[in-house]
Amino acid sequence: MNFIVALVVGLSAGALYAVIGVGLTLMSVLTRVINFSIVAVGVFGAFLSIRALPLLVPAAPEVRTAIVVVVAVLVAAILSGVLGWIEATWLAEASTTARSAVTVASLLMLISLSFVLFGSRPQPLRPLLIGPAFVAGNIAVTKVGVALLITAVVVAVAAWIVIRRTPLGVRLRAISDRQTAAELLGVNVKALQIGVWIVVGGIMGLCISIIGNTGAADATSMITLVIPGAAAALVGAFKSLPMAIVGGLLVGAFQGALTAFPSITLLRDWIPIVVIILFLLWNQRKEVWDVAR
Amino acid sequence: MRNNRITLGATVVVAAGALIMSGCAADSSGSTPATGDPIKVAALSGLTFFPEAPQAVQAVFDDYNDAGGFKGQPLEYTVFDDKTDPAVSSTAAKDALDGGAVALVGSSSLLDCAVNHTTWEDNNIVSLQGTGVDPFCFSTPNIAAANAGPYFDTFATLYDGSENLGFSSICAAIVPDDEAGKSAYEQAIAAWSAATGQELAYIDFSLTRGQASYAGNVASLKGENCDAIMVGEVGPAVTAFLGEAANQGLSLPVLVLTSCYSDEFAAGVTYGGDIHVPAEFSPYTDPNDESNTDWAAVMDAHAVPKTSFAQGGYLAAKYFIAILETIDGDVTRDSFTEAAKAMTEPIENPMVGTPWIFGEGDAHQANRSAWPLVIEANTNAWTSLGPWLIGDDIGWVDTTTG
Repeated sequence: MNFIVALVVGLSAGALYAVIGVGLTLMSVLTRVINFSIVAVGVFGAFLSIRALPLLVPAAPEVRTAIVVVVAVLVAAILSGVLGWIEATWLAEASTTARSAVTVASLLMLISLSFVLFGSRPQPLRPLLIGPAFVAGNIAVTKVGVALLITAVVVAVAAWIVIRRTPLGVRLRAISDRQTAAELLGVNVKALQIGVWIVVGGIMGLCISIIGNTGAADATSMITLVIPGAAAALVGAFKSLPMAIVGGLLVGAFQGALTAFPSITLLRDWIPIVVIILFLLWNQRKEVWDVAR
Repeated sequence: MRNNRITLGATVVVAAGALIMSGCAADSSGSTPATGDPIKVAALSGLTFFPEAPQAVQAVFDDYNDAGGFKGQPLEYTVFDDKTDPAVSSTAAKDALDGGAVALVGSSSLLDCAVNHTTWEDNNIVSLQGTGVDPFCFSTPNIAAANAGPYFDTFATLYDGSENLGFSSICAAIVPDDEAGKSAYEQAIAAWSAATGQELAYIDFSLTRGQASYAGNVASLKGENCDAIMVGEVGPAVTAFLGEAANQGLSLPVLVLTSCYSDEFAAGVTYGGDIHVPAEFSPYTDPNDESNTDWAAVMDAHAVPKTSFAQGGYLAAKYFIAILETIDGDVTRDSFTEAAKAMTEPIENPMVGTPWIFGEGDAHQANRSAWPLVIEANTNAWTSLGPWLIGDDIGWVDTTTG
């Protein structure tokens, strides 16, 4: 019983990993970059948004919350857009590896900036949704989990529709497959890429606002959520959105299940790394040792 | 060519100047234009967890220096960040001693006492902890803490829960840090059982500092038949724990420790049940409270956040000054230690329920009092309940470290 309870709780956490995985996959497919600072922009936006609270005291609580969330989304989107602009301007022709390496640098910069501006203590980031969505005995599925899962699915479906069924999608596919050719045909590559960065950044700002301080709410812990998110995206091979969602839920479920056994609960943090390693090994399974290297 | 050389030279000068100036800015000494030889005091703190205690000490010392210091000698205060790492703490201890400190005042760390108490004893120096956490802060001859500590506080919160609030099936989740800490918590729980006849319904010692998610711990709790939850962790961790508990549909009353007693915690917590705290010092959030007026004024004047750790630092500084003023002749490490151990009259302060004394003895648990407060369900403000829970009256047994 304890095991099931813990597993279901893990699923709720897995929904967050699913959203991050979807974001990472989208950026990987559309802008050829593995954006390690994807969560960091969301966290920064959320932490900055609560600084707006003292200015909003006269407003009603719902209005206050709404404005704070909007600020979080906007700040995250703008920050992400700035990063996207840097990538699109100076690294347009660079390899995926180089572009991804730059996002590691921006991740570290955002962590340091966060320490300077907000301190290293956890922030009073009130979660938007509190409480269980449904309860069956001791088993509780949290509202946050449901909301994030819905977000992940909505984003995946919307992305699929846009990419497969709209002219915009055709242009996006063009820039991801044949960037130079698309540019020569008059597609505005830079604007489209920055647009993807902005949208994904905004989504992450929204998600971090939703989860609030129900987990550790200091900058570093929140930003390292990118690791299980990356594990989720890897389950989808950074190409498949549905598999990224499944991957996120699986990683969350494994972690949750492990916490039912207090003696090995410390291993829960290893699950994403194990998933990553397993995927990489699976990926290389057909390679002969010395040929691959 | 010549221009390049001049530019290079100028850059070197500016860079050197910047380095020197930043070195000056980083020096956290509190000396004033006073003319006497400074009396050097140090502190070792885990500044990520407890920055306010040394800040409060600095504030008190700055005021004391402005008022003339000790017979014209200013107090020079240096804080070492131990980064909650035993190796760094041990090095910091040597640095503090080499710097000529006559005493340690306001240290606030998760492991300072455990790592350094032998060093203090070997060098005949005493430490007036602002925030003592590990059990060696309360069981060794050269350390006396201004605060009551998490073990007394655990005892007090359980006692409050079972005797004043009527809970009979308390489930506890505590972060033990290490074997010594776990043993100290177990002693506190045993003392509570002996004093009240109650047992804990469930105890979870698997928590670790900085744990990313408490989902598993909360899920395990739900299976037990609890009528109250005791969480032995610092404020931010409790906020995360309670957020997770709320998410899983729990709204049982909660018993926590004094580190949650801050405006920050009250503002950030979202929970549908009452949250009870026995604070280590008198309730500064109570508008009717008069014992904290001076403390509040000093903290505000020096922009130190008002938390119970700041109260501890303030008191440690005041105790230091009180002992200092009993010294005739030169103030040295030996003379201060002698004066501290020779204390016979305890120092009364309305911020604390029990008078504080160093004195002779192999162990010092001078603060054995706690003041109950509560955050009522779905509110974000502290309500003061009182009265003082006094250790000797409720069956407290001092922690030992074997």
